[in-house]
Formats: sequence, structure tokens, C-alpha cells
Amino acid sequence: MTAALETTGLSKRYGRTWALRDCTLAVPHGRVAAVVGPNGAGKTTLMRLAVGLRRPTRGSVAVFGRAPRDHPASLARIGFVAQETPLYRDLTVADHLEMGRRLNGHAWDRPSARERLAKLSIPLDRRADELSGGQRAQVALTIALAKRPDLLVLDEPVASLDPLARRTFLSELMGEVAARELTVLLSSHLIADLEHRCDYLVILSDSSVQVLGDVDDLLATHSVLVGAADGTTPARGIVSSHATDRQRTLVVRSDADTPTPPGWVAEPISLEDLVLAYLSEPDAGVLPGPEGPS
Amino acid sequence: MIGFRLDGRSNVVPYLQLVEQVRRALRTGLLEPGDRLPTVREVAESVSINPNTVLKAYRQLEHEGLVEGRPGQGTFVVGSLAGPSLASHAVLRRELRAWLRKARAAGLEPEDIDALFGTTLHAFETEGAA
Amino acid sequence: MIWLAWRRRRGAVIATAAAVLVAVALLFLTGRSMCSTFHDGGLAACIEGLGGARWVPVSGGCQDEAQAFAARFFPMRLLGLALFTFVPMVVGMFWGAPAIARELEDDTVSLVWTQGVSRRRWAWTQLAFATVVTAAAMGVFTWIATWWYGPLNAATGDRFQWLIYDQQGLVPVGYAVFATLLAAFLGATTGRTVRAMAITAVGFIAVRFGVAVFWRPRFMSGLERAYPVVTTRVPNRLLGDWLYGGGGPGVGVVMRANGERAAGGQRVCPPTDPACFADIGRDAFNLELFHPASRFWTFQSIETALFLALALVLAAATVWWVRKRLT
Repeated sequence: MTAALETTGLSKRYGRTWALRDCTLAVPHGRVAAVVGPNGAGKTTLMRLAVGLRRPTRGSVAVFGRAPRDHPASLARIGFVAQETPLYRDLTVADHLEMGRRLNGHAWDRPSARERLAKLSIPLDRRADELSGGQRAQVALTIALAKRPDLLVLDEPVASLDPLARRTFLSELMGEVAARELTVLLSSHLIADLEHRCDYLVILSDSSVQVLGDVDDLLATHSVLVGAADGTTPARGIVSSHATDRQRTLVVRSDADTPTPPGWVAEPISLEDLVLAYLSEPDAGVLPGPEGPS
Repeated sequence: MIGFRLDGRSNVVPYLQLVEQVRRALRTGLLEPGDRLPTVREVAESVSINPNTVLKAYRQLEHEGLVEGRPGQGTFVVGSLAGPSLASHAVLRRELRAWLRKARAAGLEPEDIDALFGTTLHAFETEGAA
Repeated sequence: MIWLAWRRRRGAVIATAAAVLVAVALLFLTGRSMCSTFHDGGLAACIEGLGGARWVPVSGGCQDEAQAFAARFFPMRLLGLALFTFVPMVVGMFWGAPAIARELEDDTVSLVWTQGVSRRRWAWTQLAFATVVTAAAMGVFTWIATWWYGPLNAATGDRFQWLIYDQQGLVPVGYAVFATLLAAFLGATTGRTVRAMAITAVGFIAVRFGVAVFWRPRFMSGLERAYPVVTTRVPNRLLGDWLYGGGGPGVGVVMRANGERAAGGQRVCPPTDPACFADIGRDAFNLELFHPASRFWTFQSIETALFLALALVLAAATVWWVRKRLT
């Protein structure tokens, strides 16, 4: 089965600067893929390339097997919410739903969109520039979901939401994924939000892919080792290392069966710790082997 | 209907936490054969986790013979982990509370009680096996 | 898609319609007073009496009455000239510049280009909507302006002249549509509405100037007209011929009998006044290069078609830019 989103050597240059370099990944169907990385690492560029808003400088991107920019029919299967959740300022919420209905034709689910907005207490006759940041994000997501897309691309969708709204948003997203075998590509600064929700991880650092893979696999093959500062350093793959005068904490990568070296205590690693470890060590990385991305 | 919770700090992988919560509910009689478990969607939304995690948990429970998925209807409890009867549960619980009162009166803290129980249970099981 | 274009600029459409209505009302009121003066003051009757004659007596071809009328309404003419000249450009800029640029500035393209509509369809709809509104508004305005100019044209014979010609007939619609698409193209390529407007103004004026001064006289080959300096009959200026060549715009040359250029302009001398033609000779003649008044509508059509063709090229270029070059 073709991957929901597949890129091959995808690169984008603006003037002299490379925003994304040689990105090769494949997100399987039905996954919730997280794209994380520091500002300027290329997250937004990758997402915009995925929805046809940018043209690749080199390489290719395909959504369900077709390049999104050249095939408006593919666009009908993609829902996108940009980082600033742009809406038409003078148009009301109801107008935006009408726009979605007219531009998306048969695949528009108006009843569920209205129901969703009613549940969130967002009035349909309010103009877009009178909505709060959180409400705009919810309206933008409603429009994207009402298309019944097969791929949902969300660029920092919860950045402007308060903690409760964030939780609600993400819970509903999980519900939608459950309901319809939806593939999600989502970027966020708040890695804690991604914990337990994302099952595929892309770490971008300095415009390149640093880490790529299944979250369960990554968490199974990494662990935190805590030991004395002057103890022997394990021979196996150290990703990052932090030391106080008494204690050292390592993030290591290894096979699941490798025993803990003596003098060290192993702890399971959280997604957040794993991401932070790699972000702090740009030279480390996890990329799929020659058999290709999983 | 059972409500699930996720302990983010636990060492246990999320899907196994869900499995354990179902097992515990079965043991305590909160869930009985014939009860319907919440849909994958409902759990994913209420716990705010990836639906694949819920699917994994339900599959594991199905593998253990505790639940059965019926297409179009939902996932239903078919097995049982409850003890001989709930009545014996109630008796045991009463006796346990009495013992706990004695332990606390003797000055044991909850961690000490936990450790005492853990080591005694472990010894009891190994003796039983031998 | 059309619904969206309408909904987005609904306020602007209403404002434009209101402005057109106000303009129509003003022109109607002022034009009516000119019309009644034209008829009641006797100028209309006088001109009718000439019967479209190509040659008229030096005085007695309604020249005095016409000059009186023109002088009386001179402020009106000036105002008209000052205002009408800019209307096509302003309307075009206002409708064309934001057509693409505004959505780029607001990044609402992220929203609309990820729905089920292709960039091509979106771009053509944006352009078409702006163009239709511009053309409609300018159509109504030009229609009333042409009517308004009626008496003034008859009294001055200036209909075919530079600037006067540009404000009536058909060409204002062509100019406005050109301005719209020029502004839209610049908006798409610069991504900035205000900057697009500024560059449009410069470009529009340059193209208009180039076409009007260098190309318009050459739409067709001009006719030559020669008549003696010593004469009692002169060409009927009130017919509205366009004198574009000779000594300078709107006038001809005075030539000696031997073909030598004596002076610019026109000289008419009564036979009884030898001092008048002493320096150039009795057989001197006036030479004019002109387009007859009957060609007015042909020229208007040619120039309008020219600007519409330019507009179409710009539209195609804009759509190509949006599809292929816009990142």
C-alpha cells in the first residue's frame, strides 16, 4: 500500500538559504506523525510542500501517490491548517463553512461541522477577525475536518490554545483518527502534547531529517542510564550525556536485549526526553536502513 | 461503563496499562461477562491517546480470551477473572481491613506495609511452587 | 468560487456602485444644465443650420456662439478634465491590485489553495470578477460621461483631441480594464497591494502616453488638407476632425507657394488686407494632417481593442505566474 505521505530527496531553497535538505520519509496510512525540531529547522516548509503550497527545488513529494501541487484532486483528500490559522477576516464562520462546501463539492460534511462548532460554542455569525486565537484554530480545524480528508496536516495547531483547549483539541483529533483511519502529520513545540498521541516521529534539525521512525520502536531501543560521574562509560551508542559533579545521565540507543552495564541504572525513556536528547546533539541521528523507511 | 486513565509517569507501556485496568475491573467485579467496553474512539478521545494504542490493548485482551470483538456491535467481555464469588471478596476485604488497622496501630507506614506484603506474597508464591 | 469572490469584496462592490451612482447623478445634473443652455442659447440651432458643411465662412460658422458657450462652461471642462482623466486608473488599481496580492499578504491562500479548487481556476475567477466589476462601473460612467460631453464636443470640435478623446466613447473602459489587470499582475508578482498600486500608476501613465502620442495618430493614414491663406472660407472646426500633424498637435503649417515652411499654425487673411500675407506671399497655403471626425468611433474601437488585448496578455501572465512561479 502506498504511504500516505512520501518524500524523496525533498529539498527547498529560498534564495541562497536551504530551508529543507534532502528529506526522505514515508508516513504509513493511519499514523499520527509528529514533526518536531527547533525554529527554522524546516517543519513549516515540509508541511507546505506536503500540501502543494510550495514547489520543491529538488526531489519529490507525493500524497497517496500523486504530487499534490499538480493534482487538485489530491488536494481534496488533504486537510491543512497553517500556523497562523489564516481565515478571511471579513467573512463570518458560516461564510467559511459555505466556502468549504462550495469549493469541496460532494465531500463536504456540513452537519458534523455545525455540530462541532456548536459543541465548542462558536457562534456561526461571528466574523473571523472577532474570534479569539483559540476559536480561530478550532474553526480552521473544523473546515479541514469537514472535507473528510484522508491526510490532515497541522502546523502548530495548538500553539495559540490554553491548556484545556489544547487537551480538547487533541482529544478530538484522536477521536477523528479512530473514526476514519485518518493519517495526521502534525508539528508542535510542545512535545509533551505529542506523548502517547503520536506513533511516528520525524525530528528535523538544521533543515535535515535527524530522526525518523516508529515511536514504539524508538522508545524500545532507547533508554536513560543513570550512574556515578566517575563510573565506566558504556561502550554502546550514546546519544547524549549530562553530568553533575556526582552523577551522570546518559541517553543511549541499543537493542532491546542488551543488559544494563554494571554501575548504571536503566530507566525507560519518554518521548520528550528522547527528542530533547537528539535536539541537543545534532550529530546523532536515527535514520532507517537500506531497506527503506518503515 | 469503565473509564480508563493513563499514568504518564508509570514505567508500564500505555497499552498494557489499559489491559491491566480491564483486568482489575474484571477481578473486582466492576466488569462482568456481557458488558460492553467503550469503543476505541471513545477511549482514544477520553484518555486522549492514539487509537492504535487502544486497539493494541483490546487485541491483547482478546488474545487472553477476556474480550471478544463483534463487528458492528462493539467489544464485549466474555471472560472472567473474578474469584470464586464476590461474597468471598467481601469477607477477605473485611479481614484485610482489620489486619491493616493492626499494622497501622503497630506503627507501620504504608510503604512498610506494602514492602511487608510484597515480600511475604513473593515468599508464599515461591513456597507454593516448590 | 464566484460566490467566494463576491462575498470577499461585497463591500467594495457596493461602494463602487454607490460611487458610480453619485457620479451619474452629478453628471446628469450638470449635463442637463449644459444641454439646456446649448439648446436655449441658440448654439444648437446655429450648428444645425450649418448642416455638417466641411467649409464655412471665416466668421459666420457659429464660431462666436460656440466660443461663448465654451467660455461659459470652461470651469466645468477643466474640472471634468482633471477628474475624469484619473478615473480609469483609480478604479482599475483599486480592483486589480488586491485581487491576488491581498490574499498573498494575508496568507489566506494557505486556506483557499488547499481546498478542492485549482490555482488556475482560483486565479481566473479573481481576475474575472475584478475585471467585470471594473468594466461595468466604467461602462456606466463612460456612457454618462459621453452624454455629458455632447454639447461641449459640438461647441469646441475637440472630441478627437488628446485627453478629451480619452474620457468618452469606449476607451475609458479599455483603459480601466488594462489598469485592473496590470495592477493584478504587479500584485501577484510583488505580493504587495500598495506597492502594486504605485508601480501600476507609473506603468499605466507610461503606456497610455506612449499609445496616445506615438501610436494613435498612426492607427490609419492621415488625410491631407490644403487651403489658401487668402480666403473667405475655412474648414469647419466644429465638425470635430483631429488635426494631429504639421506644426504641432492640433494645428497645421503655413507653407509658401514654393513648398517652404513659413510658420506653424494656421493663417487666414482676408483678400482686402495685403499686410496680412505680405511676408509669405499671396499664394501661400495652409497644410493640415488630420483624421476626419467620421473616424472617431473607429479609432476608439481600435484603441479599446488594443488595451483589452494588453489586458488579456497580462491576465494570462498573471495566471501563469500564480501557477508556476509562485512558490
